[in-house]
Amino acid sequence: MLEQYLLVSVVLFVLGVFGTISRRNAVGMLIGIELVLNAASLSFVAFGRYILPFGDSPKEAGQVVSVFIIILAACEAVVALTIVYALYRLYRTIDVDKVHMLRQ
Amino acid sequence: MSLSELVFHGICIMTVVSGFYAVYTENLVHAVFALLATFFGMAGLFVYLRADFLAALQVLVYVGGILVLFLFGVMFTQDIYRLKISAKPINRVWGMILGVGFLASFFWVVILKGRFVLDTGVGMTLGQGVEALGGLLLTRYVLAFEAVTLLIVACMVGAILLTLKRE
Amino acid sequence: MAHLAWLIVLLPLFSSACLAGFGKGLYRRFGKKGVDVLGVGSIGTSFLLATCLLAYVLSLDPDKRSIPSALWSWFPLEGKMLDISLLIDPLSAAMALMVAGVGFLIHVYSTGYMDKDPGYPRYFSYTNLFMFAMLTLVFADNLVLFFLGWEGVGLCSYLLIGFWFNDIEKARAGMKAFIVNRIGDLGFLLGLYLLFWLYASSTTMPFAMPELRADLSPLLGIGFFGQNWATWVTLCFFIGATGKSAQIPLYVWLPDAMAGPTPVSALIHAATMVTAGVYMIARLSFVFVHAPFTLGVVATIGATTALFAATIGLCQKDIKKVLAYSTVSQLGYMFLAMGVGAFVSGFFHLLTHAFFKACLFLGAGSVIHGMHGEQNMDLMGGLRKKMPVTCATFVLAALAISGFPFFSGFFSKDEILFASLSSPLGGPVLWAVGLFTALLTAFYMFRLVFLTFFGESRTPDAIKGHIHESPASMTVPLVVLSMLSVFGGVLNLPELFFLPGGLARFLRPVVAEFPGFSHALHESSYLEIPLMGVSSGVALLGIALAYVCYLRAPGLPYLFGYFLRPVYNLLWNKYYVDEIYEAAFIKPLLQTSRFSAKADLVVIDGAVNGSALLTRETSRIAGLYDLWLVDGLVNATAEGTLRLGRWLRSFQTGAIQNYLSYVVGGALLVFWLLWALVNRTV
Repeated sequence: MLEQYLLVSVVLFVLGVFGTISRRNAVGMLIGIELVLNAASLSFVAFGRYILPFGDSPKEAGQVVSVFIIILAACEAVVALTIVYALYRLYRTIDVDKVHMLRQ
Repeated sequence: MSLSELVFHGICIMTVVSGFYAVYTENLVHAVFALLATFFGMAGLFVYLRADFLAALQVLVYVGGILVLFLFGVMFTQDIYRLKISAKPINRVWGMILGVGFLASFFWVVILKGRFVLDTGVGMTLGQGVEALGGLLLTRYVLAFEAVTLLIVACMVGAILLTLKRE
Repeated sequence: MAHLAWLIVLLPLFSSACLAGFGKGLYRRFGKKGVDVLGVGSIGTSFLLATCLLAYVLSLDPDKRSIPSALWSWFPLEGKMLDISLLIDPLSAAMALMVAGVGFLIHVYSTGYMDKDPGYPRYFSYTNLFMFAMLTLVFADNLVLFFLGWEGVGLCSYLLIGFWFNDIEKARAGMKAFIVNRIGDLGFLLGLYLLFWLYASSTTMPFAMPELRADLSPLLGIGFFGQNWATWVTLCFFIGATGKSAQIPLYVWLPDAMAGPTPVSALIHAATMVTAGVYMIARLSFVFVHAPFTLGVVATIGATTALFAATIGLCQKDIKKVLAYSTVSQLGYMFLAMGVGAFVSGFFHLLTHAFFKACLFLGAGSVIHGMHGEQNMDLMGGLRKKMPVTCATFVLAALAISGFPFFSGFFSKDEILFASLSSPLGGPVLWAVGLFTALLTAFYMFRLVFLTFFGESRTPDAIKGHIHESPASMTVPLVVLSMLSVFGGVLNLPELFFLPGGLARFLRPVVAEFPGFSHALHESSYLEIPLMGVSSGVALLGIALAYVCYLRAPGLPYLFGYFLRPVYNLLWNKYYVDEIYEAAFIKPLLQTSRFSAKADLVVIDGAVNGSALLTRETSRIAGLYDLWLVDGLVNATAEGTLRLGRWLRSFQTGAIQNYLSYVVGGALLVFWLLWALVNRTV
């Protein structure tokens, strides 16, 4: 069973990387990053479920890490989208190709 | 194959396919909606992993929060009425190559070589679910938890500062 | 109460640090006043506290007046702990009061003397640091702390001699002082090592003076040449003292030290630092009394130095040089006293000397200030009318140093002469040398007075009109010091006067006594009155001689100079000691180094040249090889780098996506490399 979760996880991860690399649009890149984070969170939970914990770490360690990942993802999304919005106000576009001349 | 397994495979396929669509489509609004399906799929997978709280969290935070933010982001920054909500891709070839490389590596290592599979075969019984998680967060991981709270505050303040119009 | 001593010591350090840090800013912001508050105020407070401390010590029972005040443990030595600790006892309290008092007066004087100097805050930072080091030395409870102060005053002396370091001569004088002092300090250090070695197997901490005093047994063992160890230890310490207190053979730095500002000469090179050697002997008198041989050496060197320096002082023309040689001579006097076992008399002379010599130096400084930097006595004369206060105070101090009856110097000098004649360690020869020195002292001091303040003015007209009396900040300390030098004698009136010998009784618990010393003095007390008569007669004779030679018959000195030309030349050139040192030590050193340089030239250069030839031939062959093979390679590398750079530049697109793909690609690569590595080892 673990393999299946890992497979889903790695596919999502690859898709996320692919999305981040192949998008020009900042929101599109963010979508890719979210996918990567979800993949990581999924594999944490899966490992936590199927593999005996190391040392004295509790059984729910994987889930705790996932909670943190979700929180961080939310933070990251907020900040990133704010930046996107600020960029848009400045340049009237969010194509990262066109805004890499910072503050001309 | 029991119904449960069937549903599980279905969820897996839905997650992957909608994820693929989310990164592949040139229409950003479509991409965001595909992402919605992926997130729901993830929540389903969490349920199968007996992580009910995480599933709930996934739906609440991702679907209810982040996705809405994305939609806002898309719609704020694109002129939807002239239907320009599209995103021309770049680096498709490089991305494909890398993705295929990753997948191949995974298959090689995990499926063919059987490494990392320390699977006990049976799903371990977890603790008390939400209670255990909350207890851990407030005892063992309390430092990380507090740090994250601080980070959230910083994010909020940062976001407000960034969007404030400087006169 | 005893902890007050810490405040006395640390206040000057504090103000020195403040002045070093923010002195310039203070000076710019508040002018002189800002610097004065810190620099002079701290010394003034120290002085007040030192007065309180002495009063406190006086209020105690005579045998309970020794109070150690430990602050914290410093470091362990062979399992024995050394503390940072002060020792308050009659000796240190009296010395500290003198140092702080004279120091305070000189600081006040400096505010006038250094008035227009751009280095004003720096000057006070240095002098305050000096006060800190000197008070540390005075109060130190153990020899290591004492050595710290000892080195500290040497450092400050160096800094202050070279205060006007733009003048290379002055900077050089500072270095000379420092190096000569180092030679002496080496002796002091050797003494410390010897002590440490002697006490290695004992539980006594030899550096802590009270402990050392309680257990002298290892020192009394027989050492080299049949002398006991105390002799060797004290000899080592005395070498240190000859350096610091300018005795033969290490006195040469002191006359040159006059390059510093005059208040510095008064403070460091007359009143306080140079007496550190004398103080050290008084402090360690309980060791010295067990070393009669060392005491003999001390007395001999002291007497010799006294006479020797006094003769040089006879014909110097520079007003400060005369005073410098006079200081050396008076220090010799103190060592003579120490050497014959009259520790109290030596210390008494130290105190009175501090008063009148500080007064003399400050008076000289006032003259130099008025004369716009002129120091040559040939160009002075008749200053009495222009500078009445300076003149009056100077004459009083000169009377004191000459041993004019009932002035302070009279009592202290007389005690020394009496002791040197009747002590078991003394003798007629030492007494005669001392007496003759007293005659010379009176003579050259009044030569100085008459040449400077009396007679016709020989000043060039350019300066003449500008000569003025110094401001009150300079004259007030002069007046105070001159009063002290007149009445300072009451500190220790001879027993003969049926008055208490105050200082002697005060110091009795601290200062050890050489066996049979007071008995011998008591035996010969009938000599005291005749001796007093003789010494006052000698003083008057010296003054009278100077009067005749320099006021009545000004031609007389020239006549002497003409007929006794070789003697005159000898004295004028200071016995050629500097030249002798130059020839005996410095030249050989330089020649050795020059010889080494030459050896370098011939032997090593030859070898180098030979190898160079060889190398040249080899390289000719190598050159051809270079041209074809290496250059080709180098060019290829350069070309390759260029191409590579061009190619790599295409990666630096500035687009985040590209960078990300590099990262992911790299991660993949690393993963595979690790994988391969793991599988190989497994």
